[in-house]
Amino acid sequence: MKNAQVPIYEDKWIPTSCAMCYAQCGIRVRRVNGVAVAIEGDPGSSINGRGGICGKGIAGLNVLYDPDRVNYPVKRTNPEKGIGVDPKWKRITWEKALEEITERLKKLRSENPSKVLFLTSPIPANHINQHVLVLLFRLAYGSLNYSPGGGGLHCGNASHFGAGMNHCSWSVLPDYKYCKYAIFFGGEAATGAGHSFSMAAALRAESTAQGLRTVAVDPLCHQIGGKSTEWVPILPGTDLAVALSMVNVIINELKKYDIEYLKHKSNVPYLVKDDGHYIRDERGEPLMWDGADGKAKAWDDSNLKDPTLEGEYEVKGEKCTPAFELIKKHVKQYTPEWASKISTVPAVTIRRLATEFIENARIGSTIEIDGVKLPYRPVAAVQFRGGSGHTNGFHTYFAVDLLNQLAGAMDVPGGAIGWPAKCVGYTETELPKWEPIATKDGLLTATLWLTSLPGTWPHPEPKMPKRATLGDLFTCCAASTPFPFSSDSEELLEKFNLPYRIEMIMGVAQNTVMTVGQPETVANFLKKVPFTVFFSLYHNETTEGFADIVLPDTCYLESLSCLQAEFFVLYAPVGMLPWAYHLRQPIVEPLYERRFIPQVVLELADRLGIKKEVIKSFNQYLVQSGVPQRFTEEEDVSWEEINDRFLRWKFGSDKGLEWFKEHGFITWPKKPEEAYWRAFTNGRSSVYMEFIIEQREKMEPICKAHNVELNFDYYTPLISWFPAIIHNPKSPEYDLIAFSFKDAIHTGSMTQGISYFNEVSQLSPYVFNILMHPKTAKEKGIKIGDAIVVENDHGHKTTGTVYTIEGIHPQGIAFMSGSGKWARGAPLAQGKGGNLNALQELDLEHCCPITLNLETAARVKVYKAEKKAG
Amino acid sequence: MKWTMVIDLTTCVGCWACVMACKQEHFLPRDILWGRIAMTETGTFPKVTKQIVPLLCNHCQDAPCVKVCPTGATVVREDGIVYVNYDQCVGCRYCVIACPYQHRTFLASIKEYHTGHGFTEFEKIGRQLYPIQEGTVLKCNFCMERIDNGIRKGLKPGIDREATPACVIACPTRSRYFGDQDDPEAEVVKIIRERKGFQLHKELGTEPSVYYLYY
Amino acid sequence: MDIQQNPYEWMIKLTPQKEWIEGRGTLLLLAMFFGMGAGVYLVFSVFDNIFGMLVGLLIVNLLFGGLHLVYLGKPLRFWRMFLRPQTSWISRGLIFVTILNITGIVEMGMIYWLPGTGIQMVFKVISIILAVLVCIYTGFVMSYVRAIPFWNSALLPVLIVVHEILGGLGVVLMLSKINGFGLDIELIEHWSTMLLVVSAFLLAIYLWNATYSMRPGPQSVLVLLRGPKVFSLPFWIGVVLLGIILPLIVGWYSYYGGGVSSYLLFGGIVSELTGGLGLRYCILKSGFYAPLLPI
Repeated sequence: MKNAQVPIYEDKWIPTSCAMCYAQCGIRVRRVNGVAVAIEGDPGSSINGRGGICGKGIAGLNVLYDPDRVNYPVKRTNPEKGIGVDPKWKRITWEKALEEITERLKKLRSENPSKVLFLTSPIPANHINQHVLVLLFRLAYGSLNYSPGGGGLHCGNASHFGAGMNHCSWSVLPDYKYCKYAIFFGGEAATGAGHSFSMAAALRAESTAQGLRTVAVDPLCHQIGGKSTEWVPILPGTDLAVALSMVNVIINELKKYDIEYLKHKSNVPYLVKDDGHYIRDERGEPLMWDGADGKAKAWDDSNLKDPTLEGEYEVKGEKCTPAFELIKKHVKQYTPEWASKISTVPAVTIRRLATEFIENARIGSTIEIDGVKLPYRPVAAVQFRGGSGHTNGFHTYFAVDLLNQLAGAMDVPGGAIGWPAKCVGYTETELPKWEPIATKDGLLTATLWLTSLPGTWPHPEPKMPKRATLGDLFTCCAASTPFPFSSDSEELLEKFNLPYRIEMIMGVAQNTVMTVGQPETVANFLKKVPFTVFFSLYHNETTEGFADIVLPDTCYLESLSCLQAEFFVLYAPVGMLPWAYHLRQPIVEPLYERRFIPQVVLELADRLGIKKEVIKSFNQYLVQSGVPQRFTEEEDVSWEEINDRFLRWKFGSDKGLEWFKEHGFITWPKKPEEAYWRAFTNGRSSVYMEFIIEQREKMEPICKAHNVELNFDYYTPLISWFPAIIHNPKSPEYDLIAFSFKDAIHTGSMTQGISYFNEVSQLSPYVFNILMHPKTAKEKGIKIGDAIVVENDHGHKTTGTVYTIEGIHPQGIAFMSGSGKWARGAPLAQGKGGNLNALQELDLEHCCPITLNLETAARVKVYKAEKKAG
Repeated sequence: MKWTMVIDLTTCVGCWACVMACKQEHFLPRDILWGRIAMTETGTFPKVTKQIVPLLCNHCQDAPCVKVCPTGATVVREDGIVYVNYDQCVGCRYCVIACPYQHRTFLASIKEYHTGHGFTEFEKIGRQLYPIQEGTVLKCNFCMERIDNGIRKGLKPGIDREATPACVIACPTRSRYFGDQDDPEAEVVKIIRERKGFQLHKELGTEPSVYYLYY
Repeated sequence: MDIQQNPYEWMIKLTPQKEWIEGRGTLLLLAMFFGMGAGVYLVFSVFDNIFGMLVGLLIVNLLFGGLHLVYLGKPLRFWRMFLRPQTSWISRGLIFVTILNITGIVEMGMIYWLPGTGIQMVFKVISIILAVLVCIYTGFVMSYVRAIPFWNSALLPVLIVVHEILGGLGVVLMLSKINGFGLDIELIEHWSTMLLVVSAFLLAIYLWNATYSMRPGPQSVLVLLRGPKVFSLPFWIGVVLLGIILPLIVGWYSYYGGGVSSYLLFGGIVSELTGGLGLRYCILKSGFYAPLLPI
């Protein structure tokens, strides 16, 4: 501060963790004379890019000091609700706000607590707020209804479901340190995506320098496409076809796959009857045919030596065959030529990718890491929303992951690894502790999962729905269902005789109307809810249009918490990077009248008289993570106390809140058994989805009895081709497919309106423009800079300005997610970009029938706007 | 001593960390950027290559901006850094015109980021900690203050974080390098040689201190 | 023509200079135009007309210098601009203006008190040389900039100095029509027309030569000739029609057709001066930088 013109009485670096996206990078913030003046990556933490973080993180101070933030509790005085309506806010005191909220909550609790819907966001790292509000408070209150936001619906339902089942983690990425060849099916790992962006980007950069080859199978050549060794353009929603044909080439043409993996680590040796079910022993465990001694054995039989993959056998009088045999025959129909017609990827490219993938896998090779010998498979096939964000999401995810399974590249060095699914604990306390364990049918259960969400395996039994979200019927939905927001929600709830409707919403970090799906559809639901309360950093499209009370939230630079660090499978250091556990601490006291949500929630609980139940839930949460109760029922604990005890329990009595406030984080080395846990368990991954038959058997009667239509043909245990709904347009005039991507500089729908972000966004042609191929544009008489209307095959529209690029599939039209904002609370973002969500129809027909992943693309037609947009 | 920066285009992913870090380090006001990223593509579908290029002042050793400056406010230091002495700049913008890399900006007035709300606390303290003058021309100075302070403390620019330009330490993919080109052992010297580092608009003879790696 | 229109096309498509033409840059355009004050001084000095020389110096100082001063970010520091004549043409220019003022005033004094003497001749020659230098230096300021290939030509200072003198002649003619000054108006008209023909010729050569310069020099010429309209309209209508064709027609009639009315002559001169302004506008506006991307 050499040039400083004022005396400096304070110059301190405070360690904390970032919350601008899921990655939760370790940062340190400089405070000078009481003002936060600089953010940089903490060089000692492994949760960032070797001391570097992305632009969003560095610009975090914009969020702290932004005068456009919600700074005081406000109440709506305009009784009209709707998109773009002026709420005519009136400032009220916290006391008044809490009084009114408590009154409403009390009334509804006496009628039916499930009338209150709790909404959260999966991003800006608000997991602690999820836990406190959506899990703990909600459980104590007694409501069945919660929904973790739009992102869960779009990205999460298929991808997290699949990653949860097969990797016991939230998502997967290539083990960059050792990987040599990686294929990305519509995922931006390490180039733009929020999952550990800086950490992954650093790993990827190093690996690139050592010869990593990457292939991006993507309709857009921007972040992943632009940085990959090869860009393979594909028609959106057809990744399933390409993946299946690659599986076919590997199994039936190249005939080269990791037999040892398939035999011992997957469920393809399981014997399958004619009806598709497993053959089971007396205990109910599925059986395999042991080729060593010709007997049928279960997965946990210690004498099991060499399960066979092919052949026909007779067990307990029934004919059966290993699932692999069925799969092998089944995928023969999926030729590269067939896939090429559907996906526009040339057949020769598909064959080449399959060949390169399996050749690079070095099946059978091993590597020694820290003295531990492990299988070495330096290939990975990774996907995220782009691949599985369609109505064929379930099958797409497992088809792509099957490539990893065929190569044996599952949670081994160089392969597709999840965020750490196993932890043996901090050296001194052996906590936290979790690992995948083999449970039902020998498949793996993750013992660490986001406790407010459905678990991984086994999935709860589908039941007649009592929840307005229908999440108790659709139990294979990993994150959020489209209900009760969708256009057919009312009809479905009627059919299922749900005796109540949602009469109040309590939401945190929500922009429901803009990010869940078609805004008018969502608006129709929101308008009907008599009373809504939102904790929010900014006024956004949802609060302005539909909130009755908005409470000012603290941002991460004003918040204290250690509990957001808990969900390791989302963001913890991958591969052999050392563990790190961060405390998030405030750099400045909350400005204006902002208050930290957990404290507000505890106060609400107190007013409702359920604080003891909330604390009990805290204990339950801790018990769930394997610890004896730490809070007695008589104690009245404060938020600081909760954090302090939690940290001391986990890391030792000397490492409480004060220690963490000083050091920021604790770090300890990773063991190979943790990073590459699969070699140390006899649990298996899923290729043959037998459980889906039972799921169907339970769901179909319920649906039929209530006249609810669902495509149960989709519920097949063999991974199969199903076209996404966008491949059956209503009419050929809808000739383009609109899709979105996430730009590296933006998160959700918040950053578009923030100063620095807005400024640099002007420098990228990708951010606020609608992207088209120049030939396509020319055919339609459109050129760069034209205002256009993009209309889907249900008549919903959005507008924006065109920019043409060669790096896009000619049939594609791309939007940056989160653009097209219209809120008064984001003046800088208003009118910039088009809103893809306006084109996403929100109903059961537009969801994956198993996981309820929303169809994130749309079939559209494009024409010039009559007057200028915006 | 000749400070040199090397930017590796093969590993840069365009995350804007460098641009934001620079803005933050110098509390740059609205519309003023000392570092930028330019993006374009070459080729036609389906053989398309995308280029992401971080740009900044090249600190030319034969700088046109230094030569045209009528007041001598823009100078080349002995260690190669080209900087502007704000007390001497008269705001004629000849240097802005003369720069072939177009990396100088005239600060007409310091505008608030949030129109109508005044300056935020961050913006206010920024002017106290890092003064700039309206009516003068601003540009990147290789974080000269960090380098000078660092050297005074015995630190090594390019190696020790505190003494290294903010954009270099911000990069999560380690795509930026900084060092002394006169030191044969320096990393920058090695990578320029091994990876055929090149300068922009070399034909203009400005002798930039910023090299790019593309191979 | 791929010209930058959005911030994200900066230095990827042809990026025009902005500081000396847009917004406050208009002041600079006008300032450069009023450099013809030195031309006014030069013409009047040839005829030893003190009043006219004073007018010329006033234009140079108040309009040319004054507008420059107002354009600066920190006008009160302008005295610093003398300090780098070793490399900076602006410094040199300011020194020329200062010396012109000094020698001009001395010369005016000499015409009044010591007319016809040897020393008056010396100062006349010196001040005329300075006037030419003041005319030409703005051309050098631009041609020194290698970053803009369109400007980086030896012909630009020549073109500029011819235009300044032409402007000077025009203003002298206008002033003479108002108040005779006892100048040989027909001679001045004759010189004016001849010089206009020369300037047209020079302009053609300048543009033609620019098509051989480094990219994007040729593109600058193309936008002036073919458009977009924001470049080609000022060129064809301003520089060619108003600046060359109309004044030539008036000049022709005036010389061969037995003279024209004062109003027509006035109109012709105003048209020619507009053309001069238009020329500076066109040169400033179409100065493109060579893109940095693609690599």
